[in-house]
Amino acid sequence: MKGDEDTLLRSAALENAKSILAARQRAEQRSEAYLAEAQRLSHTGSFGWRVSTGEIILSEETFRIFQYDRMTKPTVELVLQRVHPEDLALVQQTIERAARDGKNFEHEYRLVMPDGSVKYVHVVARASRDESGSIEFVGAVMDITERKRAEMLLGGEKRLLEMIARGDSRVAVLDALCRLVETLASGSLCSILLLDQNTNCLRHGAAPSLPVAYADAIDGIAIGPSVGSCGTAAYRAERVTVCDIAADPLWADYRDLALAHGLQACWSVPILSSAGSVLGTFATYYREPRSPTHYEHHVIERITHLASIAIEGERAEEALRQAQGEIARVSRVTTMGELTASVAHEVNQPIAAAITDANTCLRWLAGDTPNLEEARAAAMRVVTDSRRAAEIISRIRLLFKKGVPERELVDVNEVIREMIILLRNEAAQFSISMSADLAADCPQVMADRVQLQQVLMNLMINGLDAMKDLSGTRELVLKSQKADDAQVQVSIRDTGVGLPPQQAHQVFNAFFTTKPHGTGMGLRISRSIVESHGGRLWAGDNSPRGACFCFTLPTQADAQAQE
Amino acid sequence: MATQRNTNLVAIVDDDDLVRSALQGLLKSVGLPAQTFASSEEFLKSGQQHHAGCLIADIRMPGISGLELQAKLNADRCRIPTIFITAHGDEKMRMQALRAGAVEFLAKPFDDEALLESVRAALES
Repeated sequence: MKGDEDTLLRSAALENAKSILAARQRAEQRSEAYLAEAQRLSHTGSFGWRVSTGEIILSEETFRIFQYDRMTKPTVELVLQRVHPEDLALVQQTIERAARDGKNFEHEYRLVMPDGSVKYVHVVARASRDESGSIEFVGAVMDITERKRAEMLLGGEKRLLEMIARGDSRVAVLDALCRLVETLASGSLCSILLLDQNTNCLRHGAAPSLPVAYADAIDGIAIGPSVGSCGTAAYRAERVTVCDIAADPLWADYRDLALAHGLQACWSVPILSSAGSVLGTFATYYREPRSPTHYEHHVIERITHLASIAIEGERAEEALRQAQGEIARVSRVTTMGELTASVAHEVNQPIAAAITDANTCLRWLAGDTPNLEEARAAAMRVVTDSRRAAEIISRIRLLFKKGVPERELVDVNEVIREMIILLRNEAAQFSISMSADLAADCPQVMADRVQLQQVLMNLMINGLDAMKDLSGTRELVLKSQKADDAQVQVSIRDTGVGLPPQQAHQVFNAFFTTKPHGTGMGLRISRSIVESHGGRLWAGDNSPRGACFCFTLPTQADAQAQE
Repeated sequence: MATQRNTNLVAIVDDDDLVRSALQGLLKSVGLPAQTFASSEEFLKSGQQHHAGCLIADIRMPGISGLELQAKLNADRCRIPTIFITAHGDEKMRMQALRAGAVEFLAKPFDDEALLESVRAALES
């Protein structure tokens, strides 16, 4: 009886122990699964290394980071095979010293994967000794590629924005843009082509790593619907990704050229201005057929944006430089030299803003934690400032254009708005406000634009002169409206001293003037210009104070009927 | 009238939108808040002349000019430290502004460091 009970108890105890063991095993398995998942999520693998036997044990995640087959038996030699050639000597040294001294170690290095891509890893290992005194390391391997790349992209963008803000040459900036992408996307060869808007051809911008003969051969190609990746991207104004040049029909005419230089893939992105027009293309070539990864897309997009800031800024500056020379010339040769100070002021405003914005950009980039978003915003403002200056100049240039009168369809409202901008400063100097009341349905007139500007400028300056020395309200109002008989009527009202009493009709006579330094020719010339266009110019009083000058011009339909 | 000034806020009055944005951007880069106005009238209407810690104003503007604005503020006993920036600063204008109590008179394009120094000094005064 006793024996049976014992047997029963023993078997119950055994069962109990078994189930406890099974539960513990399940718990251990679960815990291992959790650990493996955690390693995968944090891109951190673990390893063990017994130096005396050379035995190395890797966790699943470490196998994944190094991209070893699970069946491989890891060795130190195998690890070293993966190390980037430039980092190899240092890694070797660290491992040898650790094996010799048995001390903790920590290092960072690059791996080259079988597909040629580069990974960054951070390794930490702690040393211990077993009962027999032999050295054993336990450590962690972190895949820090994403963090490293993000740091490199930000650092590169910062350097480039600094170059742009400093006003480094375009060649240097574009070259640096290409090199940055080549560093971030290993194996890539980058090129920037610039669109010549007059000829619709792509010209060499930068290509630091492409074979020179290839870069020369594509310099000057005309854009079109199937001209490789870049010619097509510029033509369509959209991204063109050719993963295999040998097979893509877009490359039919250039395939042999590219393949002869070992180029097998080419992704091209158009560089767009802030207004959306194509400035050029950014191309990424590879020596094997390839499609871009999400990360590569991202890098190229960011860098293309920087390229557009650099190119646009430089173009605006170039226009500005030319225009500044033009102003000097214009002020010498025209009788409107008196306006030069005002014009200079108009140009000076955006230049002052550009200088301040460029300095602000550098401020955001300086310091321990540069603010790239703010720096980029400031750089964009520099572009806007420069463009404004260039626009003002091009308007002035048009105004002083010499040559025979040319009749064309002109939007009177547009000319009025331009003249207001041009004379804004002249008016502000005497605290005179200018406003326009323009009819939206004003038809176009057939006129010589420059002569029309001359008439408006004459009448506006007369109005401003009449108010300069008065106190009280100082207002110049320009109005356009559709008049009877297919005419457009423009009026310029001021609140100045008004016309000399009883002499309103005389103001148009040659040499009639009330100004101390006037020639007495302005109104006379204006009237003959208006009349040569088939219109009329007259003067009257403004209520309650000042004068009003009006002129009419025949609209397009009427002007054609007269011819 | 005793008024509560926000010692940090800088008011910017300039008729040129690019200059306004550039000045605001510069001040932002050193952590100073700024409010911009396209004319003296807009600034006076806002009531900020009683609250802002400092005023940066252009001289030449349509409507009320910078110097007229200064005279108006003085007449209203509104003591806001004022810095003028102008593209056409002759000595006569400069003396007039400084005599009427302006803290600085800078020519465009101006040195950003000089401007920030004046703003800091004005805010501390």
